[in-house]
Amino acid sequence: MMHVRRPVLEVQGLSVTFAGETVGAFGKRPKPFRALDEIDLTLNNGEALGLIGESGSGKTTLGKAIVGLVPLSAGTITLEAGDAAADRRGRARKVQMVFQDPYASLHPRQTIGQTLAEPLRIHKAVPADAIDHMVAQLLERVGLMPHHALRYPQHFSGGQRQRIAIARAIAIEPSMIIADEPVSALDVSVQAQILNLLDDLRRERNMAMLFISHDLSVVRHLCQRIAVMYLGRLVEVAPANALTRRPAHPYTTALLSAVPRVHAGNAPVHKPIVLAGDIPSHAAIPSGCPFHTRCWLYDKKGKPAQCRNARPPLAQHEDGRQSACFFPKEAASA
Amino acid sequence: MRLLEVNDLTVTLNVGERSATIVDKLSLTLDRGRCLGLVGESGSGKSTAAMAVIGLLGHGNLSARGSVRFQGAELIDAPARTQRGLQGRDIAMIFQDPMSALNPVQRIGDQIVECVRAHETLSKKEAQALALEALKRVGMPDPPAMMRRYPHQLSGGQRQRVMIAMAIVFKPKLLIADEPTTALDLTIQAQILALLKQLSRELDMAVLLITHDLGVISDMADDIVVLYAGRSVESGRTADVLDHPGHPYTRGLLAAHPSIDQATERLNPIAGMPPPLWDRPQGCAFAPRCDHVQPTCTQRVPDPVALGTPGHLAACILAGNTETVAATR
Repeated sequence: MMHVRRPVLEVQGLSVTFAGETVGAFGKRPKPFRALDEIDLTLNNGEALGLIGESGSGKTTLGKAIVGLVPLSAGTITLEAGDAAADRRGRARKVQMVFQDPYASLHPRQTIGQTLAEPLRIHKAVPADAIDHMVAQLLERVGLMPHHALRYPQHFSGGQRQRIAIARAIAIEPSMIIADEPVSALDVSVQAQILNLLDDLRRERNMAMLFISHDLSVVRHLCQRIAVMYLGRLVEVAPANALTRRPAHPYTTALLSAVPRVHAGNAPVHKPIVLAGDIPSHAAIPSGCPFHTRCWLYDKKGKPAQCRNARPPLAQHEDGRQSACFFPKEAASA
Repeated sequence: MRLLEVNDLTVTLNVGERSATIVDKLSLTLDRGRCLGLVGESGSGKSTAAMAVIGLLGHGNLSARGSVRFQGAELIDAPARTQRGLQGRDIAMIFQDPMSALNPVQRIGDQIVECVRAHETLSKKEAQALALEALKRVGMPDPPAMMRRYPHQLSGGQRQRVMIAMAIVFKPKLLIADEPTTALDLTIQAQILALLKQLSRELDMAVLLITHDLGVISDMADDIVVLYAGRSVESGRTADVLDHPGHPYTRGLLAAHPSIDQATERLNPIAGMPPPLWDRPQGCAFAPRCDHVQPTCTQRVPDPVALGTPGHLAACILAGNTETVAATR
């Protein structure tokens, strides 16, 4: 890439605790639980970072914390050398979000033109008399027609709506976009169109992208680096190719092996690691390594006490990899 | 005798004066112990076809024609009594979202018992014994305790296990599984798929698996039918279809999703989108999105063409034309 690498996002020691302020149906106050636990993460301009993990792992909460939709309990989020918490509008200029459900994320009573003009007007991104022209350009850039500006969301298919949501996100030229499961609601044949569009936009605008998804194949394809979350913590962060070829955390290994493969015919015989049990609840996070209760490597190594007693830190390894496991070298082979 | 034989099944939706064809002349066969995968995108008619097989279309706006034979007996237009006799006993079904399929204010055990006693005159004790046995068979931890729980106390994977337990109480010969793992996490999906395989083996049960995920199909199904806009565009042994796809739509689906094991430079999407239900094109429904469209494609629906291996069919006028297939790879 021609551009100079500089960090767009720096997350340090980020924790988010949901305090359980509401009283439940039977007068019980839910216990507070920690949705994010001491997250450190850096994202450079032009870089796509994939965030994967199962439901409840905290990946969506992390995305929301970065755009400022949930309050932080501890830690800092720095966007392009400025404290993000300080200035809401300044933050919105730098980071924009694309959500999963394009049926819920567009205003049904606003024309597409109104939807796209709003951020331009609020952020004074272009002079008022140039807004219509800019809207037309945005629509063309995401593969729609300028006259679509006069229509309402109901006239568009899911894939087209996601294009509109993307146009809205890039309208004020943010330095970073967060895409939370942007293609999960779309059919396979339409998914690829949207993924190519996101990839093109990232390259031509040198944008950073945080791509949140449960689909490992899509993340591997689209992202240069991948971060794996489990129970609110990062367990592995590594370049996409290295992580998928030789994972350094047993949870990553299990996730990769659980991806259903097409072409069983000519692929090597593939035996998935089936993890026992469910993901533990946030109310009862296991002691030590939070993954040890389901870990195949823990069993294989004869249940070392270390894994039960101490929490492995997200440690730096060779070639820019990070893993929170005491036995990273043995994590790749089940 | 085949366990299930569907011939020219056609389901139409009638609203006022208008009618639309949701499933168009679908044919398939399925034997005990085998798994058939029905693949397609939203609106392709895969769930509607399954509903027609189990007789759940009701008497509303949907009407089915053609033939669905189960163990030799015709089910289309069979009296409701006959259909109800099969439902839940010989043919059972599980759905995508187990939370909405379970009663939120009734204990798991009571729900299974109620379901058992709806089908057979049994004492509560006997029904409870059957429920416990089914929960054990699907690998639920501590079945007696699970019987006393409510759905909200279970995880998504456990709820789907309860649904499967309810479906297999009477050891059905055919299980219809409609996107059974789509709402589940990857590691839980692996558990449920392994369970379905194990049950199919133990009970010699046929599985009609409906999914949009070619990876799941590749893992589970012996045979596959690819649906597009209500029609079967390709069918055959799973390995044959996925390794040597004969229809441009099947090839497009395979190329559109990246692989976890290999780096892909750029995805090749299928242009456009599936045709709307009320406005299906003349001739081949895929023609408007096809890179190899010929003038005849838009005039008549192509007949299935037999390809190299037995049972492998593709409904494309270019199928079997090796030069074209090679060129599109």
